[in-house]
Amino acid sequence: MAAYNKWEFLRDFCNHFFGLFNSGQIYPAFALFVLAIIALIFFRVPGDQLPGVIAQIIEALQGSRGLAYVLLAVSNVLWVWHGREQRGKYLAEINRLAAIRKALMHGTSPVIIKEHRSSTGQQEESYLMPTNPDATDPSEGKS
Amino acid sequence: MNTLIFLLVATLVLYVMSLHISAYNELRFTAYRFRYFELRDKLAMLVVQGKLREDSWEYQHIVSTINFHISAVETVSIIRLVTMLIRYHTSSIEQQQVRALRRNIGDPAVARIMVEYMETTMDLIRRNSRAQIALIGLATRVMDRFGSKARPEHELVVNPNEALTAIETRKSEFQAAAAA
Repeated sequence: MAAYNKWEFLRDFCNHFFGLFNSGQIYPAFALFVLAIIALIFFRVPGDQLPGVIAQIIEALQGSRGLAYVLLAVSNVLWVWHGREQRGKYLAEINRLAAIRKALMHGTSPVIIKEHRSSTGQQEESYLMPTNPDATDPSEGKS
Repeated sequence: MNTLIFLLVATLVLYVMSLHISAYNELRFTAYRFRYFELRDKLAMLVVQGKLREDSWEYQHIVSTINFHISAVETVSIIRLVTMLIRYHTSSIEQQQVRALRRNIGDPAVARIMVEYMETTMDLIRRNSRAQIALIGLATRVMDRFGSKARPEHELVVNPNEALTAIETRKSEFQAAAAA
């Protein structure tokens, strides 16, 4: 088997690079690029100047501007968490429906449900309390 | 100028936070809908398995009740939803129908579905009326110090605790039926 050479690496790199454009993921990739620049700056700063730079950053983050940055960071984290929660709930629902489909496909019961009862079909005026005239107590009058 | 920019940024931040909260509330409501869907499907599966008749009063009433809750969660605002569910679960018609249902349920599986339905509804009411529950609790404690004269003659807010207590009582009755 031929060794993985620089041209193959370049081809894979280009494929992934265009993949970022195609999938709309170029902005997170750009953020990573900016983070890499920041890391490079920290790496290149002489050791004795580093505490001064960190102190300046902390100073800039104090006050209302700092609060805005913190809220922005919290907001981003919450969006990620929200997306994950949402995906989890939808996946659980899909799995539940898949289990029902499996039970119906492989079940042996000949019984079918004749009337479809959905929330939109039965409760069109949902702001009203349900008043089903047929829903009377069948044992009413019995002692 | 700095103050104006700060106020503008603060407004934008608050707007973004409100979007978060709104999206989160929507997600919570979706989760409640899914829980009700699950209950309705469990009931339908009992029919398919031949354990419950489709034309039985129990099946039709429970499906109708679950559909009412799904529809309410889908279409009604939080404030209206809480008020509506509290009135629904404390109404005399609902109490009569639940009593009738309890008498007619023969299959413990149906009783288990009713228990789950009540747990879901209690969660829904409790989660969306936390402020009223806390405020009523605080007001009750304060008024207890001043005696019964301090109590208002008219209802100022609907009391979620009444509905929660009513549902809890019915839930324990259905739990007994489920265990039978």
